[in-house]
Amino acid sequence: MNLKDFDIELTPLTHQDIETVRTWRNSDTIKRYALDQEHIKQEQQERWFATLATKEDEYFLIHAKNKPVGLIWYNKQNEVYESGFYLYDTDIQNSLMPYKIVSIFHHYLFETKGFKKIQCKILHDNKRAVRFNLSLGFKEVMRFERYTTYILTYDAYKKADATITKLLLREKK
Amino acid sequence: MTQEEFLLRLQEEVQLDRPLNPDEMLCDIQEWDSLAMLGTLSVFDEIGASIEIDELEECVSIKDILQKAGFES
Repeated sequence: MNLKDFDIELTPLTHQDIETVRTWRNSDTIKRYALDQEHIKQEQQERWFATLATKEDEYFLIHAKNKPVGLIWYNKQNEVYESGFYLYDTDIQNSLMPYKIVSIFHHYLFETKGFKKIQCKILHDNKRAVRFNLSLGFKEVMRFERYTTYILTYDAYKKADATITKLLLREKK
Repeated sequence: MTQEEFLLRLQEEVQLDRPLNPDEMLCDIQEWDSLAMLGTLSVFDEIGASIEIDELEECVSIKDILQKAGFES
Protein backbone atom coordinates (compact mmCIF):
# COMPACT_ATOMS: atom_id res chain seq x y z
CA MET A 1 0.00 0.00 0.00
CA ASN A 2 1.50 3.33 -1.07
CA LEU A 3 1.17 6.28 1.28
CA LYS A 4 0.92 9.64 -0.40
CA ASP A 5 0.38 13.24 0.65
CA PHE A 6 1.93 16.68 0.12
CA ASP A 7 4.59 15.98 -2.53
CA ILE A 8 5.79 12.81 -0.81
CA GLU A 9 5.13 9.15 -1.52
CA LEU A 10 6.06 6.18 0.65
CA THR A 11 6.27 2.91 -1.28
CA PRO A 12 6.73 -0.54 0.28
CA LEU A 13 10.35 -1.66 0.06
CA THR A 14 10.94 -4.17 -2.73
CA HIS A 15 13.88 -6.44 -3.47
CA GLN A 16 15.09 -4.12 -6.22
CA ASP A 17 15.44 -1.32 -3.66
CA ILE A 18 17.60 -3.16 -1.12
CA GLU A 19 21.00 -2.50 -2.69
CA THR A 20 20.27 1.25 -2.82
CA VAL A 21 19.18 1.12 0.81
CA ARG A 22 22.31 -0.84 1.77
CA THR A 23 24.49 1.82 0.11
CA TRP A 24 22.68 4.56 2.00
CA ARG A 25 22.85 2.65 5.28
CA ASN A 26 26.60 2.06 4.96
CA SER A 27 27.34 5.72 4.16
CA ASP A 28 29.09 7.73 6.87
CA THR A 29 26.23 10.25 7.14
CA ILE A 30 23.69 7.55 7.97
CA LYS A 31 25.84 4.99 9.81
CA ARG A 32 27.15 7.69 12.18
CA TYR A 33 23.76 7.92 13.89
CA ALA A 34 22.69 4.26 13.66
CA LEU A 35 22.53 2.14 16.81
CA ASP A 36 24.32 -0.64 14.93
CA GLN A 37 27.52 0.72 13.42
CA GLU A 38 28.38 -2.49 11.58
CA HIS A 39 29.08 -2.36 7.83
CA ILE A 40 26.30 -4.32 6.15
CA LYS A 41 27.37 -6.80 3.47
CA GLN A 42 25.24 -7.72 0.50
CA GLU A 43 24.47 -11.23 1.76
CA GLN A 44 23.43 -9.81 5.16
CA GLN A 45 21.06 -7.43 3.38
CA GLU A 46 19.58 -10.29 1.36
CA ARG A 47 19.01 -12.36 4.52
CA TRP A 48 17.46 -9.39 6.30
CA PHE A 49 15.08 -8.69 3.45
CA ALA A 50 14.04 -12.36 3.33
CA THR A 51 13.04 -12.23 7.01
CA LEU A 52 10.66 -9.30 6.42
CA ALA A 53 8.16 -11.63 4.78
CA THR A 54 7.72 -13.46 8.10
CA LYS A 55 7.41 -10.41 10.29
CA GLU A 56 4.92 -7.69 11.05
CA ASP A 57 7.54 -5.06 10.19
CA GLU A 58 7.01 -2.63 7.32
CA TYR A 59 9.66 -0.66 5.48
CA PHE A 60 8.91 2.12 3.00
CA LEU A 61 11.10 3.92 0.51
CA ILE A 62 10.57 7.69 0.75
CA HIS A 63 10.09 9.50 -2.56
CA ALA A 64 10.19 13.29 -2.75
CA LYS A 65 9.60 14.97 -6.11
CA ASN A 66 9.71 11.52 -7.72
CA LYS A 67 13.17 10.74 -6.38
CA PRO A 68 14.02 8.15 -3.66
CA VAL A 69 15.50 10.08 -0.75
CA GLY A 70 15.36 7.82 2.31
CA LEU A 71 13.81 4.97 4.24
CA ILE A 72 11.14 4.93 6.94
CA TRP A 73 9.96 1.91 8.89
CA TYR A 74 8.42 0.34 11.94
CA ASN A 75 9.24 -3.01 13.45
CA LYS A 76 8.02 -4.96 16.44
CA GLN A 77 10.53 -5.44 19.22
CA ASN A 78 9.47 -7.18 22.44
CA GLU A 79 5.80 -6.36 21.88
CA VAL A 80 6.60 -2.69 21.24
CA TYR A 81 6.36 -1.02 17.83
CA GLU A 82 9.51 0.89 17.10
CA SER A 83 9.81 3.40 14.26
CA GLY A 84 12.68 5.15 12.58
CA PHE A 85 13.75 6.85 9.40
CA TYR A 86 16.71 8.39 7.69
CA LEU A 87 17.15 10.73 4.77
CA TYR A 88 20.10 10.18 2.50
CA ASP A 89 19.53 13.51 0.75
CA THR A 90 21.01 15.98 3.25
CA ASP A 91 19.42 19.02 1.53
CA ILE A 92 16.04 17.64 2.52
CA GLN A 93 17.08 17.41 6.16
CA ASN A 94 17.06 21.20 6.33
CA SER A 95 13.67 21.62 4.72
CA LEU A 96 10.16 20.95 5.97
CA MET A 97 10.15 17.62 4.17
CA PRO A 98 10.96 15.60 7.35
CA TYR A 99 7.75 16.87 8.94
CA LYS A 100 5.72 16.02 5.86
CA ILE A 101 7.21 12.52 5.75
CA VAL A 102 6.60 11.79 9.40
CA SER A 103 3.12 13.31 9.31
CA ILE A 104 2.11 10.85 6.60
CA PHE A 105 3.75 7.91 8.38
CA HIS A 106 2.39 8.63 11.83
CA HIS A 107 -1.08 9.02 10.38
CA TYR A 108 -0.66 5.55 8.88
CA LEU A 109 0.59 4.04 12.15
CA PHE A 110 -1.90 5.63 14.52
CA GLU A 111 -5.01 6.03 12.36
CA THR A 112 -4.77 3.16 9.84
CA LYS A 113 -2.84 0.53 11.81
CA GLY A 114 -4.42 1.59 15.12
CA PHE A 115 -1.22 1.72 17.14
CA LYS A 116 -1.59 3.18 20.65
CA LYS A 117 2.06 4.15 20.98
CA ILE A 118 5.37 3.90 19.17
CA GLN A 119 8.93 3.96 20.39
CA CYS A 120 12.17 5.24 18.96
CA LYS A 121 15.79 5.10 20.04
CA ILE A 122 18.16 8.02 19.46
CA LEU A 123 21.90 8.22 20.07
CA HIS A 124 22.74 10.91 22.60
CA ASP A 125 24.88 12.91 20.17
CA ASN A 126 22.19 13.01 17.48
CA LYS A 127 20.90 16.35 18.74
CA ARG A 128 19.03 17.17 15.53
CA ALA A 129 16.99 13.94 15.84
CA VAL A 130 16.32 14.54 19.55
CA ARG A 131 14.97 18.04 18.83
CA PHE A 132 12.90 16.80 15.91
CA ASN A 133 11.33 13.89 17.76
CA LEU A 134 10.56 15.94 20.86
CA SER A 135 8.70 18.38 18.58
CA LEU A 136 6.63 15.42 17.31
CA GLY A 137 5.48 14.72 20.86
CA PHE A 138 7.91 11.95 21.79
CA LYS A 139 8.82 11.81 25.49
CA GLU A 140 12.03 10.47 26.99
CA VAL A 141 11.44 7.22 28.91
CA MET A 142 14.76 5.45 29.47
CA ARG A 143 18.36 6.55 29.15
CA PHE A 144 21.06 3.99 28.31
CA GLU A 145 24.79 4.42 27.85
CA ARG A 146 24.71 5.31 24.15
CA TYR A 147 21.09 6.10 23.45
CA THR A 148 17.75 7.12 24.94
CA THR A 149 14.37 5.52 24.32
CA TYR A 150 11.41 7.80 23.56
CA ILE A 151 7.71 7.02 23.40
CA LEU A 152 4.98 8.73 21.38
CA THR A 153 1.45 8.05 22.57
CA TYR A 154 -1.65 8.49 20.44
CA ASP A 155 -2.73 11.58 22.41
CA ALA A 156 0.69 13.21 22.11
CA TYR A 157 0.76 12.42 18.38
CA LYS A 158 -2.69 14.03 17.87
CA LYS A 159 -1.68 17.18 19.73
CA ALA A 160 1.63 17.67 17.92
CA ASP A 161 0.20 16.67 14.54
CA ALA A 162 -2.57 19.28 14.80
CA THR A 163 0.02 22.04 15.19
CA ILE A 164 2.37 20.68 12.53
CA THR A 165 -0.34 20.01 9.94
CA LYS A 166 -1.81 23.49 10.42
CA LEU A 167 1.60 24.99 9.63
CA LEU A 168 2.26 22.67 6.68
CA LEU A 169 -1.13 23.22 5.07
CA ARG A 170 -0.87 27.01 5.18
CA GLU A 171 -2.52 29.03 2.46
CA LYS A 172 -1.12 32.24 1.09
CA LYS A 173 -2.83 35.16 2.83
CA MET B 1 6.23 43.73 16.08
CA THR B 2 9.58 45.45 15.46
CA GLN B 3 12.44 43.86 13.55
CA GLU B 4 14.32 43.39 16.82
CA GLU B 5 11.35 41.62 18.40
CA PHE B 6 10.96 39.44 15.31
CA LEU B 7 14.64 38.48 15.46
CA LEU B 8 14.25 37.62 19.14
CA ARG B 9 11.27 35.37 18.39
CA LEU B 10 13.22 33.74 15.61
CA GLN B 11 16.14 33.19 17.98
CA GLU B 12 13.76 31.42 20.38
CA GLU B 13 12.34 29.17 17.67
CA VAL B 14 15.79 28.31 16.36
CA GLN B 15 16.78 27.62 20.00
CA LEU B 16 19.92 29.73 19.78
CA ASP B 17 21.61 31.06 22.88
CA ARG B 18 22.89 34.16 21.07
CA PRO B 19 21.24 36.91 18.98
CA LEU B 20 20.73 36.41 15.25
CA ASN B 21 22.59 38.66 12.84
CA PRO B 22 20.64 39.78 9.74
CA ASP B 23 23.72 39.14 7.62
CA GLU B 24 23.99 35.51 8.70
CA MET B 25 23.67 32.75 6.13
CA LEU B 26 21.27 30.00 7.19
CA CYS B 27 23.74 27.31 6.19
CA ASP B 28 26.14 28.71 8.81
CA ILE B 29 23.62 28.29 11.62
CA GLN B 30 23.99 24.75 12.91
CA GLU B 31 20.56 24.89 14.53
CA TRP B 32 18.83 25.83 11.26
CA ASP B 33 16.93 22.62 10.60
CA SER B 34 13.38 21.51 9.90
CA LEU B 35 12.33 22.33 13.48
CA ALA B 36 13.70 25.88 13.15
CA MET B 37 11.81 26.25 9.86
CA LEU B 38 8.57 25.07 11.41
CA GLY B 39 9.07 27.54 14.26
CA THR B 40 9.74 30.31 11.76
CA LEU B 41 6.43 29.60 10.05
CA SER B 42 4.67 29.97 13.39
CA VAL B 43 6.38 33.36 13.96
CA PHE B 44 5.11 34.50 10.56
CA ASP B 45 1.62 33.45 11.62
CA GLU B 46 2.01 35.41 14.85
CA ILE B 47 2.70 38.64 13.01
CA GLY B 48 0.14 37.96 10.28
CA ALA B 49 2.79 37.90 7.55
CA SER B 50 2.35 35.70 4.52
CA ILE B 51 4.93 33.11 3.49
CA GLU B 52 4.63 29.82 1.70
CA ILE B 53 6.77 26.80 2.50
CA ASP B 54 8.58 27.04 -0.86
CA GLU B 55 9.41 30.69 -0.18
CA LEU B 56 10.90 29.88 3.22
CA GLU B 57 12.88 26.97 1.79
CA GLU B 58 14.34 29.35 -0.82
CA CYS B 59 15.67 31.74 1.84
CA VAL B 60 19.44 31.54 2.26
CA SER B 61 19.98 34.22 4.89
CA ILE B 62 18.31 35.84 7.89
CA LYS B 63 18.03 38.96 5.72
CA ASP B 64 15.91 36.97 3.22
CA ILE B 65 13.57 35.93 6.04
CA LEU B 66 13.34 39.51 7.34
CA GLN B 67 12.44 40.74 3.87
CA LYS B 68 9.76 38.07 3.49
CA ALA B 69 8.35 39.24 6.83
CA GLY B 70 8.19 42.79 5.49
CA PHE B 71 11.16 44.24 7.34
CA GLU B 72 13.80 46.38 5.66
CA SER B 73 17.03 44.96 7.16
